[in-house]
Amino acid sequence: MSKVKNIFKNARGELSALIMLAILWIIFGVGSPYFLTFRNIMNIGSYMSIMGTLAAGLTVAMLLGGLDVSQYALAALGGMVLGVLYEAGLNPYLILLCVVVLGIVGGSFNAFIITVMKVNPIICTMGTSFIFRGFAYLLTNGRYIRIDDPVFYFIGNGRIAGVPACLIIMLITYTIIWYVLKYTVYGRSVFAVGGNLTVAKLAGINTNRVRFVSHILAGICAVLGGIITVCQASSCMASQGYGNDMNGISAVILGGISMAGGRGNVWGTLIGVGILSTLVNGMTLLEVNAYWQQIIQGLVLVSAVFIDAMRTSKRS
Amino acid sequence: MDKVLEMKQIYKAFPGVVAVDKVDLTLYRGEVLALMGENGAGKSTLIKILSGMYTPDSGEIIIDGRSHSSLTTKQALDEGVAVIYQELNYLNDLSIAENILLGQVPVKGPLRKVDYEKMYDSVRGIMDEVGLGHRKPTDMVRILSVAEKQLIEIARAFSHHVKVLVMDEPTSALNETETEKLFELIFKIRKKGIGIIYISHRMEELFKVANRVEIMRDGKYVTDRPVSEMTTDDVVAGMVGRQVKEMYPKRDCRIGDTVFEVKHLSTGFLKDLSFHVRAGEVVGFFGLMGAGRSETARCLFGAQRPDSMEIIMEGGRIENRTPKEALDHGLSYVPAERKTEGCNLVMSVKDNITLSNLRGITKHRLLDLKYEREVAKRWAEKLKVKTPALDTPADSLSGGNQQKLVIAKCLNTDPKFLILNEPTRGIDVGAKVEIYDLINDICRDNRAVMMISSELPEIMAMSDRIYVMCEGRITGEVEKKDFTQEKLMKLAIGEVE
Repeated sequence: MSKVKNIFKNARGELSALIMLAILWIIFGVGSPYFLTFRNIMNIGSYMSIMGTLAAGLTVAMLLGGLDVSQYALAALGGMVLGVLYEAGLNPYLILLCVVVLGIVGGSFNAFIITVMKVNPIICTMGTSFIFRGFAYLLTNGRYIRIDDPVFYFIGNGRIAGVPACLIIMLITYTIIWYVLKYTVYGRSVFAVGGNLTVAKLAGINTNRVRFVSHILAGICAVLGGIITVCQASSCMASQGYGNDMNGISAVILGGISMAGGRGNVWGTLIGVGILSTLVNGMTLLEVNAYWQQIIQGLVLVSAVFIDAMRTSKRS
Repeated sequence: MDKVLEMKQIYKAFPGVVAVDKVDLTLYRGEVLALMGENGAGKSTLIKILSGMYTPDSGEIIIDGRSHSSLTTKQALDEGVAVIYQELNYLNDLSIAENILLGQVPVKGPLRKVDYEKMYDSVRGIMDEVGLGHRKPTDMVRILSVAEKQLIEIARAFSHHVKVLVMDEPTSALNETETEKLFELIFKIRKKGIGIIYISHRMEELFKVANRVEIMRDGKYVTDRPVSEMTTDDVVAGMVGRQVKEMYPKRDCRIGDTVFEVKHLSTGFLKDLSFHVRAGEVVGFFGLMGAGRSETARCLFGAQRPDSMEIIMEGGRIENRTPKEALDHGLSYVPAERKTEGCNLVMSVKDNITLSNLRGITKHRLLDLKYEREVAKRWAEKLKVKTPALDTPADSLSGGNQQKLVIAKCLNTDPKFLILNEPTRGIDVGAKVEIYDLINDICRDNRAVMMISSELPEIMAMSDRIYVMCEGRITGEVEKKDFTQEKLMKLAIGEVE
């Protein structure tokens, strides 16, 4: 009994997100007979894998009290690099490796500007998002590339026992990040730095290294999302994900991660991603006008944060 | 005399601690009531209940005959309660008049434009009254001295037709002449029939300014009596609740050889400091605010880069460029600011305790969460940390318990040399004694302690030797047998004999 109580107590933000997700499922389940079928749920899964993978890395950056708005641009750059290397005829596995390396480089670039040049993370990643996006266009001068390769097709559209491969990739990402945050010195340090930078420094934590690594993680997750996007569409273009830049952040906030850092959980983010994806899927099934969908997404985000703020203020 | 304020059986609990336990307080018109008590005795909680910042769990507040079970901040203002906190509230870039009339600026016309003329006129009288007559209402607050900024707060209270004025440590930032002036003003305010609650740690002020004293201890009411019937010893005994001698447990350990030596420590502010600490010894660092003691500690611990410094530890030269290197060399540092430097308030009790030595709880480079729990539990028990669970966030603990977390965190690194910066600031008496016991334990293990403290009785009782600092220099080194308050104080203000 006390264990159950503890789970509820520690869940905080995640719990209200979970309740919200459940309510959505009930509404859409009642509204559309198709919604709760295995096929549709897997559809949601494959849809959420892009935003989900990105948001997993973003969670780490936000737990630090930082932010990364350049992820979708880096994802697009990763996608374009994949396409260009594919045209050059490289081995697909080698291509994937190259793109991940690009993620590390892009993340390090952000990390360098933030930790060494001491630029505010929002400003820095706003700037680098233009840079990444610009390079993505430059690579082919804006031309899109068709991709036809079994490996990439499998990543985007393949299934293992009926479960989309991209969903599995996303879940593996979450498991790794959860594990790293919970069981490594680095992971604990992320919470320490996010909670209070000075305390972390005086506790002998190399705060710059922690921040550096976190932005690299955000970069790797960004290109993974880019890879999935390209593989799902079997083509790549530089404008990919344009205008979605806030989705990842919305998901993380919905998942109960405090903007101030130091508090939260990567599973919360997964629930947040689930909410946003369910909303899109469910509203499309119910044939809600696309513009209204945007408005409703916005309202859900604001109300979720509002509920959370209410609760935090009550506690203190 | 008639009562302007009565607080009856006020009770307020926070998670894990009863801050105010059925306290009564009566204030008469035209008197100054000194509210005394150690840090953590519940004075500020009681005041926050009066000002409407906290809601009491039970009790009654009667102001001018009207009874309330609790107040909002607005109600408190409307009832004529004004509190002047230690941290002054003012807006530097607004004029004196705007600051005084904050929230009640006069307006005119259908557009509700600010009526500047009326605003300046209406504050002139108040400014004269509080002693700001030499300033213009249009002067920016930025150019005022601290004492004058304080007067603005008093003026603001007047503009609200104050009946009960609370002053929390009003003289802590004032010099002697300014203090005298403030006392004159208090005398004037008193004569107008306003009741004043005066909080200060300075004993001599109490006898100068107060008519009556109320003492609190550990959240409870102890006594209230006219000042004329009390002596300093009575007040201290009431506050501490035991003989002061017992506060500082005795230590009997052999002092060994020098284990830690600093030579030629200089920064822009610190001037060529050299000192040493021996095994089993507590070396006190005494001085006034801003003497450079914290900066010294930060340099030793690698949190600040000095221009020059040589550290010799156990015979070998070491360099501490970062706190991490210092920790690796066996130093540990308990910082002065518990909430901003010492304790991670978001993290749990357990996470705080192990934070400085995460490597100590790893197995195959991964955190062993079960072992971590054991470690945390051991320290929490050893230091008697009062917490509902190891997973409780640190911000729901009391100040004293948070401080114990910080100390546990430092001890968990198994330090050979421990630097304590104001280790007992803002915590209650019981916890203080426990911390003194811990310091003695550390010495018995033949480790060395450097203790920075601004409390003379504490530093005199706990130290084997004291270095006194003034304006970035060490002005004296005093052996235990030569400790006197006068001597230390003289050195602290730079009077070298």
